[in-house]
Amino acid sequence: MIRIFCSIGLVLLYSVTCYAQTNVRGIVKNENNAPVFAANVYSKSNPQKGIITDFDGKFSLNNIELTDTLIASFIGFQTKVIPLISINFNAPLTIILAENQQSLAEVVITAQDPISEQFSVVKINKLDIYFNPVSQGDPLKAITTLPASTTTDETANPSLRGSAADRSRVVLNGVPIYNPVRAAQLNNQGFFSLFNPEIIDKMYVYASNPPLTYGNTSAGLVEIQTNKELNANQLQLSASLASTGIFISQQLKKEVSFIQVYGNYQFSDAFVGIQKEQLPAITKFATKDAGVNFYSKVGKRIDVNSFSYFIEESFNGLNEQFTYKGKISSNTKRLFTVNNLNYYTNKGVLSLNTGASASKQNFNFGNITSKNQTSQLFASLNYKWFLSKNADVQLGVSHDYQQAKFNDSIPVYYYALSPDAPAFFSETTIANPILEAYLYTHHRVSKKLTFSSGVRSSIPVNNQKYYVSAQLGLKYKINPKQSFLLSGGNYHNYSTPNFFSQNFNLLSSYQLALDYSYELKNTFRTTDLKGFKMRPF
Amino acid sequence: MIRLLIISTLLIACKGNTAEINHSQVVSYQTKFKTNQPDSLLAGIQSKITNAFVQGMVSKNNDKLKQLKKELEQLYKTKNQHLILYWQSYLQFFYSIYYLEAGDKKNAEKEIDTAIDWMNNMTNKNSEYYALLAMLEGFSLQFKGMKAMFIGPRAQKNVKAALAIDSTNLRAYYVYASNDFYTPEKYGGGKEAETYLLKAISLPAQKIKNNYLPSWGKEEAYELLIRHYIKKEKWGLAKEYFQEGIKGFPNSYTLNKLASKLVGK
Repeated sequence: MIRIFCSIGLVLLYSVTCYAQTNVRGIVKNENNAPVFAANVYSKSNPQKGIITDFDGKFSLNNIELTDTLIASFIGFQTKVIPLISINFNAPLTIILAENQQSLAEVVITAQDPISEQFSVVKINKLDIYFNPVSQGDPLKAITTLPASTTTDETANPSLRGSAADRSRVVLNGVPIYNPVRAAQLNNQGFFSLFNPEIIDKMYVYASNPPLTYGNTSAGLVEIQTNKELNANQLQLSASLASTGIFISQQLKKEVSFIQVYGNYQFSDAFVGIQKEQLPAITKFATKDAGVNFYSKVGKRIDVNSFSYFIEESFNGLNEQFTYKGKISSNTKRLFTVNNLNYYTNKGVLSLNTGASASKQNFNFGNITSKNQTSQLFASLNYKWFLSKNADVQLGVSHDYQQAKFNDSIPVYYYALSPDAPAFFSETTIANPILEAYLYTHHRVSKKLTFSSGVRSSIPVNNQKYYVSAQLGLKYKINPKQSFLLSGGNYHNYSTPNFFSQNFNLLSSYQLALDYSYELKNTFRTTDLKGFKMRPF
Repeated sequence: MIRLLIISTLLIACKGNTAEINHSQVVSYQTKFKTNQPDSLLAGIQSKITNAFVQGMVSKNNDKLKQLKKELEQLYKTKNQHLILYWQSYLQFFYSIYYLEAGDKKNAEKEIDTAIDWMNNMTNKNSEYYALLAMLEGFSLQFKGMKAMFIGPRAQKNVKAALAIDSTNLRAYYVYASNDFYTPEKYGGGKEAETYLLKAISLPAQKIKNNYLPSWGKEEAYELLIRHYIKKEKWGLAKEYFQEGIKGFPNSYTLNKLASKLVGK
C-alpha cells in the first residue's frame, strides 16, 4: 500500500513539474549595452509562441514551462540559449547577444585600412586620379586640387598647408619614398611622381597632423596603398610621338596572387625634331622606367607584397643663368623596392615593412658639376591590435637609414658660372639613422565622435638629439556629409639633403588644425582653420 | 489493476505535453512569430514596400511609396536603428526602378546612390546589409558608364563579405548570381549564376520567420534561374524549376510572366 502511495506521489510530483509554467519578461541587448530591436525570443519546445523584441529590446513571453529553454537570436549575433531553470525570476531578465565572430576575411579587410583612416582629410582612389582633370593621370598631382594643397610650382612633390615639400612625406605601403618625383632638378623638384596609378588602390592625404604611425614628417603625409586584388587581367599598350609603354596585369592564381609589370620609354627624336624652333632649349631627353608589383596570399593568415621600380632619365639642352648661356646635361638612375609581410590574427595584424633605395645623379652646367649618390634602407615592425569593436591600438618600431655622397664642383661666385670661372671641389658623405618607436590609439566613442592619440619617440643613435612627437585628434561627424576634425600636436623630421643643403637637419613643428568637411556627390569641399609653427630643432 | 490505470492516466497526461514538444521541433524550422507591440510601420515592411511599388507601377503614381519613404525617414530620426536604414535603402531600390521605368534616369541614379551611401556609412554591417549593398551597387552599374569598371568589383567584394559572414544567406547567393548573370560574358560573367541560384533556392528565406526582417530573394532566384535556362535553351530544366517556383509562389507576377516563354518548348 505504501509503495502504491509512493508511486502515485512521484508521478504527481512529476506531472506538477511538467505543468509548472511561468512568464518571462526581459530585454535583449548587444555587447555595447544597446537594445537589439527585432530579435527573436522563443522557447525551445514551442517556437510558434516566439516573440520579437520591440525598439527598446523588450520582450514578454507567457506560459513557458519551467523545464524549457529560452532562445534569443538575431542576424549577425550568436544565438543565446538559456535554460529557464537558471533564471532568477525576481529580477528582469537581460540577455546579452554577442556579435558573430568576424570571419578572417573580414578581419583582413579591416586590417588593410590604416588605423588613422578617419583622421585623413581625404581618401583618393584610382578613379579619382583618372577623373581629376589636373592630375594628368599622376597620383601625386591629383592632390594639388585639394584645398589643403599649397603647391605653387610645377613639382609633383606635395606641399600641404604652406609647408615646404620636404617636410611632408609620401609613404608607399608603409615605407617612406623620399623625393618621389621624376625629371628632378638639383633642388629635388620634379614634374611627375614615380607612381603609376594602375598599381594604386587608395591614397590617404593627411594635410597636417600626420598620424604618428609614421615618422620623419613635420607637415603632412600622403599614404599610398597598392592593390590587394586584381579585378581583371589586362594588357595596355601605348605609343605617341615621344613615348611607348606597356602595362600588364595578370592573375597568377584567382583571388590569391597577381603580378603587374610595366615599362615606358620616352624619347625626344620625333617630338623635338618636328618642333625645333618651338623648343630651342631642348636638345635631347630620354626616360626609361620599369616597375613590378607582386601580391600573394600565403595561406589564410599571411599576405605578401613586393614592389620594385627602376628609372633612368637623361636630359641635354641649353640653359641660361646670370651671364652664362651654355649646355646643360643631367642623368639620373634610381632603383627602389618596397616589400611587405602581413600576418593576420583574429585580434590584429602584425606587419613587417622593408624598403631599399639607391640613386645616382650627374649634373653639368658651366662650372657646376654635381655627382651625387644616395641610398636608403628602411624597416618597420608594427602590430595593429583590435581591442574591441570601437578601439584599436597600433604600436611599432622603425629604422630608417639614409646616406648621401656628394662630389661637386661649386662656383666660387654664385653669379660666375662659365666653365672657366673659379670653382672649388667638395666631397661630402653624410649618413643619418633614424630609430623610432611609437604608440597610436584610436577610439570610437560614439557613432559621431572618434578620438585618436599618438606618441612617437626617437631612440638616439650617434649623439643624435632626443625628441618626442605627440598628437591628439577628435573627429565629430555631424551627419554622413559633414564633419569637424580637430587635431594638434608636435612633430619632427630630418631634411633631405640636396646640392644646396648637404645636411640632415632636424626640424620640428607645432600644429593645430580645425577642418570642416562638407561632402556632396562627386564633390568634396573642406575648409580649415589652422595654426602652424615650424622651426629647426 | 486500478493502480496501473491511475499511473497510466497520469503518464499519458504528461506524455501529451512531451508529444507537443516533439511536434514543434519537427514541424517548425520556419515558425511564425508574434510581437507584443502594436502594429508598427516595420511589421511586414517588406510586403508594404513591394505592394506600394506594384501599386505605383500600375497606377503610374508613386504617392504610396513616397508616403512610406517619409514614414521610414521619420521613424529613423527617432529610433536610429540600422534595420530602419536597411528598409529605407530597400525602398530606395524600388524608387529607383520606378523612375527608371518612367524614363527618368537622372532621378533613378540619384535614388540608388542615396541608398548606397546610407549602406556604405553603416558600421558593423552583417550579412544581410552587405547583401543589400551589393545588390544596390550591382543595380547602379547601368548608370555609371566608365565608372562601372570600378564599382563592379566593389559589389563583388561586398557580396563575398556577406557570404563569408553567413554562408547560409539566401539573399547573398541570389545577389552574387544576379551580378554574375548581368555581367556580359566577355567580361567574365555568366559562369557562376546557375550554381549560386541553385544554392539560393535550396536555402530557407528566413531561418526563423520574422516579419521585421528581410525574406526576399527566393522568388527572384527562381525567376533568374528559369531565365538562365531559357537563355541557354535548356527547356527541360526551365520547365522543372518553373513548376517548383510556381508551387512556392503561385501569385508571382514575374514567374507567371515566364510561362508564355515555356509554352510549346
